[in-house]
Amino acid sequence: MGPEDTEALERAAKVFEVELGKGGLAFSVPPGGRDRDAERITRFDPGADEIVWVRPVAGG
Amino acid sequence: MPTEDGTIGSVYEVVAEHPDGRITLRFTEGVLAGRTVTAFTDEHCDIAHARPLTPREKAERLLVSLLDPQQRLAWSAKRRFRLGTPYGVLELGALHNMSFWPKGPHWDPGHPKLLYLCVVPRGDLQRLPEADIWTNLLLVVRAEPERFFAVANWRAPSHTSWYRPPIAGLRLGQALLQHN
Repeated sequence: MGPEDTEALERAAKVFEVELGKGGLAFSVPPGGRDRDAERITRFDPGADEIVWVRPVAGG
Repeated sequence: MPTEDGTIGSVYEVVAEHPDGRITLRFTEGVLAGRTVTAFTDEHCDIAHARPLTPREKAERLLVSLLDPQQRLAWSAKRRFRLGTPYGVLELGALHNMSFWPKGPHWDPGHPKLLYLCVVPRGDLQRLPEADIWTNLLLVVRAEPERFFAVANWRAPSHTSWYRPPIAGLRLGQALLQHN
């Protein structure tokens, strides 16, 4: 991993913390994964293939 | 000029390559002989086709990637799909009016067979692509069904007025324990 990759990961980790602070819910989705495979994460996972952010839910 | 397979062929030469990716051809033989044509190449057309996806297309692609084949079929046909939860079967696709068939003693006349639920992602929904709304609800209900059902406003099909949570007859904690 080069210095650029390390920098990018640090930036991504910061973005993760900011989004988490806003109340977002993060899910790690493996390649080709279905909803059942999506895992709720509360810490930045640099190994995650894809992180999907969703909003908290409320009664409509 | 006729080719070996009997079709009419053309011979051309490239006379110019333009900065925007087009090329100009001059036909020297065949039915188009003497004519000049300027057009994009196939390669360029392929690049143009692979344009960045719109937010709506991205949202659709993400949602579909999360669905199983049966749900995909249902989503494609009716823009709705069902999923099993620890509390019953939920149908996503009708915002503010999601059908829910609760688990429970169906022999009991007092047990609801069908309810309508209203749960939405918090915040402004106007700018959220429709598929993103369903991805949002799908992931939350799948990962944290207790949270989802604990906030659901609900009504019976025969009623027009909505009730605040908790959903009558739904024992959240117990159902979750049984499911796990």
